[in-house]
Amino acid sequence: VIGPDLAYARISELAPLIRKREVSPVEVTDAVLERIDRLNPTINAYITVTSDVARDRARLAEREIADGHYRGPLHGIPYSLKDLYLTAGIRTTGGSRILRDNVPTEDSTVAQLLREAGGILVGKTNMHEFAYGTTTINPHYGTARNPWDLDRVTAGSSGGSSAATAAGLGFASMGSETGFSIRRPAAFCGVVGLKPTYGRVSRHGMLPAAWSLDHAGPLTRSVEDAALVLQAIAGHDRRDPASSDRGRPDFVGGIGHGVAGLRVGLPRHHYEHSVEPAVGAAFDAAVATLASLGAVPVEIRLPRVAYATVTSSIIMYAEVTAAHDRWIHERPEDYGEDTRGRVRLGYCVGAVDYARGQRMRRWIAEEIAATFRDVDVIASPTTPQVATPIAGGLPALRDQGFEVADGLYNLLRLYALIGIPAIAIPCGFSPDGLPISLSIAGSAYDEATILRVAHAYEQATTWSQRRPPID
Amino acid sequence: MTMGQVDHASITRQRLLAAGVPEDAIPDLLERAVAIVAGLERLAELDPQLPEPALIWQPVDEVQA
Repeated sequence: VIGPDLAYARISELAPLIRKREVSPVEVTDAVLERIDRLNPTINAYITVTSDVARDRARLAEREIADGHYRGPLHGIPYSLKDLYLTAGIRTTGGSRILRDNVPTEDSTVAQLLREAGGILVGKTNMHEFAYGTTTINPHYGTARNPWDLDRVTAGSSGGSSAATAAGLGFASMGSETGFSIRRPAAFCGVVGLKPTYGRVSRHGMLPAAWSLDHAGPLTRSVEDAALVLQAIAGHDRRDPASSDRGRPDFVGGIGHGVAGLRVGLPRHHYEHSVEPAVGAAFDAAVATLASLGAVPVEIRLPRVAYATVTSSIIMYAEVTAAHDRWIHERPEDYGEDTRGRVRLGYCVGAVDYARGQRMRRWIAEEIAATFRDVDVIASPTTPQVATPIAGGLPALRDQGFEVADGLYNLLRLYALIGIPAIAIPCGFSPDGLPISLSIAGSAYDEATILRVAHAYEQATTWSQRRPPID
Repeated sequence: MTMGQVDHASITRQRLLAAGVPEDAIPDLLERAVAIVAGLERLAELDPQLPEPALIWQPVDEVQA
C-alpha cells in the first residue's frame, strides 16, 4: 500500500523511480484512485473520476517503460484536468447543467499532449460553473472544499484542481484562468499555480470563458513540477488563433540558476493597505528571503494598474456574455443563479465600452513593458486574504469589478489582462493554519525567470512541504 | 433629477430589456447593473490619452483544417 508520503511526492521525485521501474504506474494510479475514492466525497474536487481509463493507461505506460520506451517525466504520472478541457469519450461539463451529458469526440490540445507525454488522466475536476466565478460553490456538482479547512472555499474557478493537488489526489492538475482562476485557487489551497504567457499553451478544445483573456496552466505541488508540465503542453497550435509561434524553450534547465542580481519590483501602493496582517508579514518575510539569496528589491509605482480590474471586467463581461448569448436566452433556467446574473450583466457593456477597454488594455500593458526595463520580475502577495468561509462566499469582487482604485485585485487581474506570465507559490500560513501565497510575474514569454525566482524561494523555505490535515 | 443628471437606472434598464433580459429578472440585477454603467461612463475621460488597441485579430492566410 502506498501511503500519504508517495501521494504527496513531487513529479520530479516520482518520475526517476518510474523510469527505473522501482515504482509501477499501475501501483501509483491505484493508490491515487483509492485516495480519491476515500477523500473526494468530502473534498468534492472531482466531477468525474476516470478510473477505468486511468487503469488502462497505467498498464500501457507500465508496458511501454518495460519495453524501453520511456516518454519523459510525465510518463506514468496521474494527473487531472479541469472539467472544461474536452476529452474524447469522457464527459466534459464545464461545471454546468447545460453540458451535463456532453461527451466530446476529440481531445483538447492539452489533453492530447499530456496523453502523448504518458500522463495518466484520473479525472475531471470541479470548477465554478462555466469558469465564471471565484468560489467553486457549484450549484450543479456541489461545493469544492479546501483541504486545509473544509469549511473554507477553494477559490475558483479552478477550485477542484487546487483542492485535488493540495490533497494528494493526483500529482498535477490543469486549470485555466480568465482573471485569476489558476493563481487564487492555488493560493487558497497552498499549491503552486502557473499562468503562462497568453498564447504559450493552446486553448484549442477548451470551453471558452473570454477568448482574449483565457489561459491554460498547471497547478502542482512544486515549482519544478509546474515547469515539467509546462514543458509538455507549451508550443504552437494552428487550431488556436491566439497561439504563439515562438516555439517551446527549455523551462526546466535553468530553474536552479538562482536569483543573484535579479531585480524584484515591489508595487507597494497596490498591496500595503489592502492585505490582512498575516499576509503582509509573510510577504515581507518572503522578500527578505529573496534578498538574502541575492535578489535586489526595487520599489516601483504602477499608476495605470489602478485600472486593471475595471479593464479586465469590461472585456470579460462582454466576451463571456457574447459566448453565452444563445444559451442565456434559450435556457436561462439551466444556469445557476450567480452565473446567470453575471452573464446578463454583461449586456450592460456596450460596443464603445468594449473598444475603450481594449485601448485601456494596451495603455496598461505599455506601462508594464516599460517597468520591465527596470526590474526582472514583479512580486506581491497573490491574494489580500486567506481562504474565506464557504458560508460567506467570496463577495469581495462582486460589486467592485468596475471601480478604479489601488489594490491587490488589480495585480491579480493584471497578469491575465495583459497576458504576461505569473506564478503563485506558498509563502506562509495564517495563525489559523491557512496558506498564504507569493506572486511572481515576469515579462512576456519569460516564464523561465519567474520559475527560477519561485524555485529559489521554494528551495530556501519549507512552506511547500506542509500537508493539509486530511489523513 | 435636474438637467444634466443622467438617469442611470433608466438607461441600464433599457439596455437589459433591449438585450432580451426578461423584465422580471431586472430588479435583482439593477443595483449592480447601474454601478457597472456608471463606472463605465466615468472611463470616457481617459479617451484622450488612450492608444489604439493592440491588434486583436490577424489576417488568416491559410484555411484551418
